[in-house]
Amino acid sequence: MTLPSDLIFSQTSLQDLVDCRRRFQLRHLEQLAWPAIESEPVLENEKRMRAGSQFHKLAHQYVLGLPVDRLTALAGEGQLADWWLAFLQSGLVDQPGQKYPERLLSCTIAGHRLVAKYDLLLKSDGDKWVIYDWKTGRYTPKRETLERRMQTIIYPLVLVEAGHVLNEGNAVLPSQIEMNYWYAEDPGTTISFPYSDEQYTRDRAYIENTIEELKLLREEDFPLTTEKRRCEYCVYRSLCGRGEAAGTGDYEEIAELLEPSEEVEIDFEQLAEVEF
Amino acid sequence: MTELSSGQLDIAEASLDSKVFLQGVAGTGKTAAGIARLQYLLDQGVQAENILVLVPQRALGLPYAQAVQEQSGTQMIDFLTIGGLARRMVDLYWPLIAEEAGFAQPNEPPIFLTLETAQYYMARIVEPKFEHGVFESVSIPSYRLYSQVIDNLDKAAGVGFPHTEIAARLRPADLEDPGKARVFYDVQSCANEFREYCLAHNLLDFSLQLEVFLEHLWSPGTLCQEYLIRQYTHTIVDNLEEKVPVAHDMLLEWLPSFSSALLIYDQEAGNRRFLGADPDSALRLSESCHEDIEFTESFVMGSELTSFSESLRYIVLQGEAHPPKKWPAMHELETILPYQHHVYFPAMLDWVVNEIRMLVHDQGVSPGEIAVLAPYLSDSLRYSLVERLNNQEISVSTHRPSRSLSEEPVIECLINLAKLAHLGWGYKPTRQEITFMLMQAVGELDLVRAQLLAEHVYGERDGALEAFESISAEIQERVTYQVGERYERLRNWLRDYMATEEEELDFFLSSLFGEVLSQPGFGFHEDYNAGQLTANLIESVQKFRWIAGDILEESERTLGQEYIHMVEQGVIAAQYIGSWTTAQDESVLIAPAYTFLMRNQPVDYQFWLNIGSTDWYQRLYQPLTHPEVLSRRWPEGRKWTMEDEEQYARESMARLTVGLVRRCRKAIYLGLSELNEAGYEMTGDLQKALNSILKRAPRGTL
Repeated sequence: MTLPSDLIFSQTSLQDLVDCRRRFQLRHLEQLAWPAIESEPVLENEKRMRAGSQFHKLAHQYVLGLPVDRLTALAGEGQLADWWLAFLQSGLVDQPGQKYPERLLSCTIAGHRLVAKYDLLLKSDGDKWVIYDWKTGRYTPKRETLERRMQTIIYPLVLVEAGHVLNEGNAVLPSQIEMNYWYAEDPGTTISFPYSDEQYTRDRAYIENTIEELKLLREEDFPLTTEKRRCEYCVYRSLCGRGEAAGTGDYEEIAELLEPSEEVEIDFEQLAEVEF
Repeated sequence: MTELSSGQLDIAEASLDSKVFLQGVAGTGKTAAGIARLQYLLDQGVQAENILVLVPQRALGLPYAQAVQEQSGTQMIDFLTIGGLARRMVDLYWPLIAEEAGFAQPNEPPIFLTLETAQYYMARIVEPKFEHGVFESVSIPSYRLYSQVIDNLDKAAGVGFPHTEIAARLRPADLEDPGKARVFYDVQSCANEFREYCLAHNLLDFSLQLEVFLEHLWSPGTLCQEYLIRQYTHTIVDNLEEKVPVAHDMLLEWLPSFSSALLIYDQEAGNRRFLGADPDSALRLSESCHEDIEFTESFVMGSELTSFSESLRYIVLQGEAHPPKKWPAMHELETILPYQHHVYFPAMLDWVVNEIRMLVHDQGVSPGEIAVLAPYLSDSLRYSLVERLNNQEISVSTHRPSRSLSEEPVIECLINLAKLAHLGWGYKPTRQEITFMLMQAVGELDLVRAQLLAEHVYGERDGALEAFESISAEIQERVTYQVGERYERLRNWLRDYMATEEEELDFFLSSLFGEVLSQPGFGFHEDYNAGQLTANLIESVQKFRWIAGDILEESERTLGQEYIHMVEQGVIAAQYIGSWTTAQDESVLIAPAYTFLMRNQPVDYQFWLNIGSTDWYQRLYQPLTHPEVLSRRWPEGRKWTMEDEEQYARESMARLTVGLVRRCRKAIYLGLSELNEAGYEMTGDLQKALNSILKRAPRGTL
């Protein structure tokens, strides 16, 4: 099939593609709004996601140099304040170096854009590039699970492909890169993935093949996942005849669902186009 | 990419320290030059993140983003509106400015209001005043009253005068009617109270976002201004004439800091004047640029349409424009201006659809090259056209920016189900509403059986749904057991829900959608439009909850109850901002004429409906505000006269109609009927102007 020329791949869309082709088709090709409950308990999950978004904003503001006392006041009390305190105590963003918060990079692979939005890119004085991703979900996944996630594959890959725009035109080499996940609920835990030339070569070929394979599919080649448990946490379950109620949140795989959306949004601002 | 003219290439490849003011009428290739300039900057090694593309609204930025995105490479362009930039900066730098800007809770995050939530808060302020006679002489629906007070605040922010001067500016212009002085006093007091309420609760409507940004963040030496100046070294500003004066002021200050700038100005436009756009103010920027270049050659219109556009402008403006270089000859008009007389409106629609059928099916014209335009697009007109075109197997997309969400049958169904599930809120649907709800919710249920079912299972007095098995076997059989089984599932789901603790309205709707309505056999299953509409409603409720939830905790009404109340008042879900990207390339576009103008994408063929209507030029009735009197152009204290009104109408019609012609490549079909949709006779000024042009050519009047 011919993919839309403006289709942009991200870790979210490629994760959907490998998890369930039908989900990818509905969500990213047809862009179908299907507002069922994603997971229960819905109110608690929403609170966590909103707090996660606020945490990401505080981290961004901190890197921009806003006074820490005012940010701490904004963090208030409770869960967000705990995360914020842990974040300050970690000292991760106080390391010397050039910092790029909330930075979007993109490259072209197999004729399509692939984008990554980094919570923080840190170019240390020793020419090392550290990717930080703040995680505010309930669970800290196993390292092996995380290693297979598209985010772990795509973020370093895009930095190699497009990092020159931040590096005075010089290439960023795989051996310079490290991918770090920092868990606000488990603040002593940072899970790191060093990167290498071999890993880069493998990852690039994998992503290229994944997109090329997608191009060969016909409309009817988007089957449902065989792992039915996933459907409990998918809004399209009613469309696919895969159940009624949303799953409750003790399934490790849904940890990602409870993160604030890292779906890349190109923030096309919208002024009210209405008549008064 | 299409080949560029030498003029466009000169613009695109201007030096990296150039400041260019590019002007020309629509269709002369200015935006194409702007896109080429953007690509040139990127090719020269400028980073996309350092380029500010500023547009007046989302639709006009998409061609820039898409042109870059479709190229191979690593660059992606983001584009902003002035409102978007203000909101983004206020959000980011809030901790620095909240206190000095006068917000009472600087340690709490800002709450950005949408138009509908701003209307909600305005309603909270204004509604209690009705019983004291406030606005009793104003005969417009209350939701329009709220939106006009908000519009005044937006105008004050966009034009750059204190919001406390609204009445002082409006009053002298309307001296004829002494009763209006009281009305303007009430407008002012409501605007003041609204602003105070916003400051007390960290609420930021559009006007406050803009004011806070310009007064507290866009100041020399602030962290925010330093950030913006460091971040953006090059800019391309398109449709400069559609921006508000304070945006022009900001650009005037910012311009020296940019390495390069391309400012694009559409002559004879200013289609968003009613929202505060000020083309005269925009022209000030030309003096700050190194070069002022004008494009004059149309890439869209042929010579016949060019003659026609010049003639139309000359006639409409009653000689105040340049006379046409050449009046179009009759044989030319016959080609570019096909028309047929009809007495009745439906016959005119049949003619329009038949002409479109011939274009598409006989002449192979792509449906995407056809636009059907009317000054105002009613639901019934939209429905009639869509039905007729679909019957001809022609795909259609419609775009109405202010389409009413609450009038959609899918939404009515959901709202009625919410009422049934929350009887304590005090809303009981009528039997007729239950009938239509059942038609939507229960799959494959026609009107007759839905009526039958509603009649036998629904008690209007207590709002209860009875079991299917409680009705007679004969009726069960007529309704069918299959429908009965689905009805029972829906009823049981509602019963189970009512037996538990009440959920937030958006969660209730989401569960109802996912667990029942979109399940196989039910009305929303595989209905993508129903999915989209439900998502829109849920988003509206969710935003309402996030913004009004805390404040409502002190109220006697629950959030869901308040939401439904506001829907019934027309305050919420009355305006849904639709997506511009939903217009499909291979579909005939049906849209209001202004919407088509602002979309800025020419087509081969246009169909103009309701030629005799006064809506082509008459100003929307806005007794509480005034786009001209509140503009910077208006001399302080001057009275708005009938002559001003007529002049405004002529200029509006010239801008609109000539703007449409300039976005047409081949022909404009005129849909003429003596009687309008409502059966009234129509002989408006546009029809007279067109007649006048035809009379100058041998053999012709409309």
